[in-house]
Amino acid sequence: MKHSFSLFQTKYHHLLIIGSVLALALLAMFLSYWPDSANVWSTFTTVFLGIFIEAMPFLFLGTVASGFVEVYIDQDAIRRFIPQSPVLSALLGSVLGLFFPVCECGVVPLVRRLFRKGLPIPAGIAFLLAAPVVNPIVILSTATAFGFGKILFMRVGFTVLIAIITGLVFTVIPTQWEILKPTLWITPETCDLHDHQHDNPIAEMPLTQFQKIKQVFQIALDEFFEIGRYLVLGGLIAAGLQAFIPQSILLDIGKGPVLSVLVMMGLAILLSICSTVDSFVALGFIGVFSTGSVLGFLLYGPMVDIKSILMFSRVFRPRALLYMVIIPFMLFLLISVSLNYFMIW
Amino acid sequence: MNKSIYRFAQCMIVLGLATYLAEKWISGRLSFYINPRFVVFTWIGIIGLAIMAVIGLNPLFAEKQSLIDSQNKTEPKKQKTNMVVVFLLPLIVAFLGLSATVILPMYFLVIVIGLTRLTKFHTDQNGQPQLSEISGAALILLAIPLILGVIVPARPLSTSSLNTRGMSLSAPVSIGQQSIQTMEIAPDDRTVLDWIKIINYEQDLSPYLGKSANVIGFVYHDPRLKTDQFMVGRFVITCCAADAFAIGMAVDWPDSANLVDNSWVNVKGTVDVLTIDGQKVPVIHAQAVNPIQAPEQPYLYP
Repeated sequence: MKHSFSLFQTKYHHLLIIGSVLALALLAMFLSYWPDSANVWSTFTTVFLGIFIEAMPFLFLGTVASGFVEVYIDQDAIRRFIPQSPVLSALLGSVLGLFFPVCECGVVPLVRRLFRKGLPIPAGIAFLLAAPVVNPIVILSTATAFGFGKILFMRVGFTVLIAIITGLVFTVIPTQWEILKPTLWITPETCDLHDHQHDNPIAEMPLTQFQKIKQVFQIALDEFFEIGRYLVLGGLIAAGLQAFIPQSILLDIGKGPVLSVLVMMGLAILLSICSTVDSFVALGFIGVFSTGSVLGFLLYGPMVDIKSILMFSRVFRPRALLYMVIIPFMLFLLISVSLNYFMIW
Repeated sequence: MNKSIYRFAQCMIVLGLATYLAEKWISGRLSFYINPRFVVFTWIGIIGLAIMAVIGLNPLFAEKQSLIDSQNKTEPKKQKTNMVVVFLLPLIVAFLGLSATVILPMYFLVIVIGLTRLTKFHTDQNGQPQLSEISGAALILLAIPLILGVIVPARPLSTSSLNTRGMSLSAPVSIGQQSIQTMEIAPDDRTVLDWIKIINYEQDLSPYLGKSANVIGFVYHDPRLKTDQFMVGRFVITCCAADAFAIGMAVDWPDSANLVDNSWVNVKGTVDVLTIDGQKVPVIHAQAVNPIQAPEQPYLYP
């Protein structure tokens, strides 16, 4: 069984390598035709490194959290803790972020690890989508930017609501393997760490606390590379878009109650800003864009942007990924546009 | 790829990133990329990367010993030699503030030393988690920020990025309370951002108009201005360079055409208001425009 998975992975990775080399070659070609190319290249690099340097510590914290879950939390604890009812488990998942304060870069490795430990799908999806907003740091930064008011409450409330709905949509699938990547397709027995080690005499010795901590960081190191590559890829794309596509194209069409929402949600995807700071950026659009559309930016950006789509792709099969991008999109669009029409700010 | 080589490569990339970030932080150039308010997270990142590297490297050089121990069915002895600390040298040197010309050769030297001493990697050591996968793509991708950071000279955003961003005439960053604070700043200390906030958010502009302004910024010839005008601009960064936007004040200056885009100037004059595209824009009737060196902290933070 293991072999078929590694075969699948090898294929996939060759594609990834070829893809990134092609992308870089295209970029180089493009740059050579671009007037003022040295400066554009420098802008591209600065923006890319900005995203990477800003997000890297949060990715690190997420992978360490994942390592801790792997080493210290056993499956029984999760089964006891998470209710069986899909609605309750999705509800719990959506507020789990209050206890695991991770942003969108950190939540992916953590959720993946929790899935392996037997977390139900609705809870996991709700956690994945809500955690970047429903966590102490982001609530604090949103409150700092917008004050304790409507925007903050609507941001948190709607995020919880949509995360639960999206999580519940996935209860219709019979088994979780239909949406999870085969890399996760490991039965609880084989994924147990010590199982490979029965024939080794020293493996029988219980781990000391220090060895456990070492394990946490070794797992974190592996995941830093597994998930980090999507952060790099997403950062490269976002930086490329910023360096080469005029933002005025977006801003010029972005008037009106519907278009402005679409534009702001599009911008949220393109900019790929970490949810811990995106409220300060959103503040910049108040006055330029309708308030509903700024809320759309605050709601959709943390759930879905270029880098998180790429990181999700590591955990979910393409079809599930599509649903996770589209369902929140439609719902948030509905919410933001209705607010623009019916609410007086 | 051999497991031990893969693990070694992972650790060296992670260590390289930590060293790169430490160098940027010490040299003050980290602020080209992120708002200094978030530097504390970068510290956490540097420390975290270093810990991951040390813990990842440790078994690569310690295992032979414990393998022998396990065959002899004795308790593993405490590892006598721990050469892992050698790998931290580039990072330590970076923290000492030495230049990249010292750090880079040292980093490569450490890699070569490591490769020659690399022992076989055994996953069945006690407490050793399995490698989840071996992916060359992951190595290449995570090396990209390191490579770009080293080969592309560190430069803050320049006016050439305005080709796609454009210069913003309003001050969309401001909220009410902040604009009141700008009242308390002495006119000569107000930055371009402070002036933009005042013009955009103060109801009554009369206490401000005609006051003296003394600002620095880069030169930008905005297509919306007349030929004897230019913009003195700054980039405003909330979080990182990805969310930067440029703001500027118009400057009346007969010699505008001779100023080069992206060069830094100090502008002194009196403040007035101009309307461009229905938007109120502060304008400085300049008495003096002097070229200056680009400041160490090129951006403004709201």
